[in-house]
Amino acid sequence: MKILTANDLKNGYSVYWSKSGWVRDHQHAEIVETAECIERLEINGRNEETRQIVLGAYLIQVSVSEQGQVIPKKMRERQRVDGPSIQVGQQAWQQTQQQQVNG
Amino acid sequence: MYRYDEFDEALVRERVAQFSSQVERRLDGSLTEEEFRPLRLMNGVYLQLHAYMLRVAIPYGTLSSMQLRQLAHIAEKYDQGYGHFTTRQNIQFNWPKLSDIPAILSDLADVNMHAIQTSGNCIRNVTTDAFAGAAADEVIDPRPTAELLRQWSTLHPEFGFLPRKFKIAVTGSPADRAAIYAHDIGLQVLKNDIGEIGYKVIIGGGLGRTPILGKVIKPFLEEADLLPFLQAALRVYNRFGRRDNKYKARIKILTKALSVEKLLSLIEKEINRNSSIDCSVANAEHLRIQQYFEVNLPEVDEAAELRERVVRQRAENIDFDLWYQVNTDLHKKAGYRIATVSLKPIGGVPGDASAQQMRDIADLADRYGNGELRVSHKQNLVIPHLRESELFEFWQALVKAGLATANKGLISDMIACPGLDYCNLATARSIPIAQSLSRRFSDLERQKQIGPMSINISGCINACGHHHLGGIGILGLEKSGKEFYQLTLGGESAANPSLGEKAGRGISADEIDDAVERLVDLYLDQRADNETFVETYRRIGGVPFQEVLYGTA
Repeated sequence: MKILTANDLKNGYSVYWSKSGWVRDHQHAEIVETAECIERLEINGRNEETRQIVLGAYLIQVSVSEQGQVIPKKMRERQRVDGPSIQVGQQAWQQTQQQQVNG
Repeated sequence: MYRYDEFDEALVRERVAQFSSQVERRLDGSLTEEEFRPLRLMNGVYLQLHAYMLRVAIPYGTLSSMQLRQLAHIAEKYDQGYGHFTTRQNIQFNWPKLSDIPAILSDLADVNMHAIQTSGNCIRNVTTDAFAGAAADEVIDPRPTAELLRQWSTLHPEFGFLPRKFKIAVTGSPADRAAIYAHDIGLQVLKNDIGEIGYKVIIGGGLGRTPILGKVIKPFLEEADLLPFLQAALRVYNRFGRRDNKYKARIKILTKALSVEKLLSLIEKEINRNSSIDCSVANAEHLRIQQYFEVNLPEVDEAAELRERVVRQRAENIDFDLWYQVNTDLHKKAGYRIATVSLKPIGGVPGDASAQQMRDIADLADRYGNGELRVSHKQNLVIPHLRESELFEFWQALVKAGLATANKGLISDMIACPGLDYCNLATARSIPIAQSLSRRFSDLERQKQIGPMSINISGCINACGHHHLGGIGILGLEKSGKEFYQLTLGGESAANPSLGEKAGRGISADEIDDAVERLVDLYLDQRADNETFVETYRRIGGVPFQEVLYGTA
C-alpha cells in the first residue's frame, strides 16, 4: 500500500495527496495498491511538481492498522507525519498544521 | 566589532534583490526546483523534514545586541518564535515560508546580516573561539584574521563550486576552543621566537563518515603569506579534489591520498606559478581591520572593598557562587570576566533560544557588557566583557530570565544536532537523547564532581553533533525501522585533540542513560587526581569502559 507525499512549494510543509487534492493530514491520503494506481499517483506527483504546487513528490509505503490508522513503514516517514517529538517543535508543527495548503 | 562598509552593505542588498527575484520566479513557475535548488542553497535555504529551514550566518560567531534583537524579531514575525544556534556558530530557523524569505533577508540586511556561505560547496562561514579578544590565555585575537577571511572568501568567484564545502576555523589561543583540527583548514594565530605574528596551518581535518584530525602543513606561516597560501591551497583542492563521489570529495580525502608533503609541494608550486598575482595583504590593512576589534574597556577600580564585595556575594549565595565558578572565565583584563549564558537548561533543547530569551540576553549584553555577544561552537551564548563587580546583578537578571543554568563544560552541556526531529538527512533523533541525559545528570553537585565532560550527539553519520569529539560520543542510526545508538569514547577537541573510538555494538535509546551512568561511575572510580574523563580513558584504555558498557566484566 502506498500514498503520495511532497512538500508544499510556498511554505515547505509536508503534504499528502488525497482524492480531493493535497492535505496536511496523511490519514486522509489516498491509498493505492495496484500497479496501475501506483503509476497514476506517480504521474500525478510529477504533474503537481510541474504545476509548481509542490516539490519533491514521492511515494511511501504504509500499512493500515485494525483501527484504520494509516502508518508509514519507514521510521523517517513516521517522524514526518507525526512532527517533531520534542515539545517546542511539536507545538510549532501543530501551528503549521492549521495552514492552508497551496493550490 | 567589525562594521560593514559601503561595499559590504551594497553586496548584501544586491544579494537580497537578486534572491527576491529568484524566489518570485520560482513561485510563479518560471524556475523549476532543479534550477532553483542551487540558488536557494546559496542563500541558506534548505528543505528539511517538515518545512524549509533558513540558516543565517553569524560571521565568526560575533554579533551585536541589535543583531540578536533582529533575530528575535525574525523568529517571532516569520517563524515559530524560536531559533537554534549551531555548532558552526550560526542560527537556524526551522519553519520559514519560502514566500517570506525575501522579507527575512531584507530584515537581516537592515542589521548587516545575511545567509551567504551557510550552504553549498563554497568556503563556509569562518568560525573562531567564542572567547576571542577576551580570554586570558589568548596570544593574538583571531577575529581580525577571521574577518580578513570573510572579506576574501565572500562570493569568491573562483571558489563558488568547489568539490565540496570548505570549512575554516581560527584560534588565537593554545587552548583551542574552535576545534581547529576538525576543519578543512585550521589556523592558530601565534608569535614566533622573535615576536612576529604568523599561523600554524592545519589541513585535512573533518568529521562526517570519515573522521580525520588535520595535520600540520605549515608550523609557521608568516602573516602576509596567509591569503596567497590559502588561495593556492583552495586552487589545488579545486583542481585535484574528487568530484565523482561526494563522500570522498573533502580535502581530508585528498590530503590522505596525496600525503601532506605532496600537497604542500603542489601548494607551493601554485604559489610560485601565481607569484605575479599578489593577493597578500599589506600590514596597513591588517591594522585597519584590527582596529575594529579593539575594545577600550574602562579600567576597573580594583579597590579592596569591591573585590571583597564579590567574595562576600559568592559566600552568601551558593547558587551564584556555583554559576560564577562554572559559567565565567578569566578575562585578559583585570576586573572583568567572560560569562557563558547556557542554552542547555535541564531537559531543554541544546542550542534553542526563544525570541524572548534572545531579547533578554541582548538587553543584558547592553546593560552589563558592551553590547557584544558570541555564539559558541558548544551552542551557548557568550557575553565577553563583564565587570566582575557587576556579575552578581548580572546573574540575578539571568535567574529572572530563566537563563542561569550553571553547566558550562559539564556533562549536561551537551552538543546535539537537530536530528530526526527536524533534519532531512538524519537517521535517528538526537535531541530527546540529550534531554533525557540532561535530566538524569541534573544534579549540579554531581556534575561538578564529574568535572569537565563532553557528550556530543549526532543524528546521522554526517556528524553535525561532533560525536567523534565527545568524551562520550553518541551516533544515532537506524536499522529495520528502529533507532539505535553507537557510542564512541575518548574524543576531545581541545589542545590535545583525539577522535573517539567505537565502543562496540549499538544500543537502544532506552539503554543510553544507564549506559552513560555506568561509564561515568567507572571513570569516577578509576580517575587519578584531577584527571578528566578523557585522560582516564587514555590512561586505562577502552576495555574497562567496554566491559561496564556491555556488562561483560
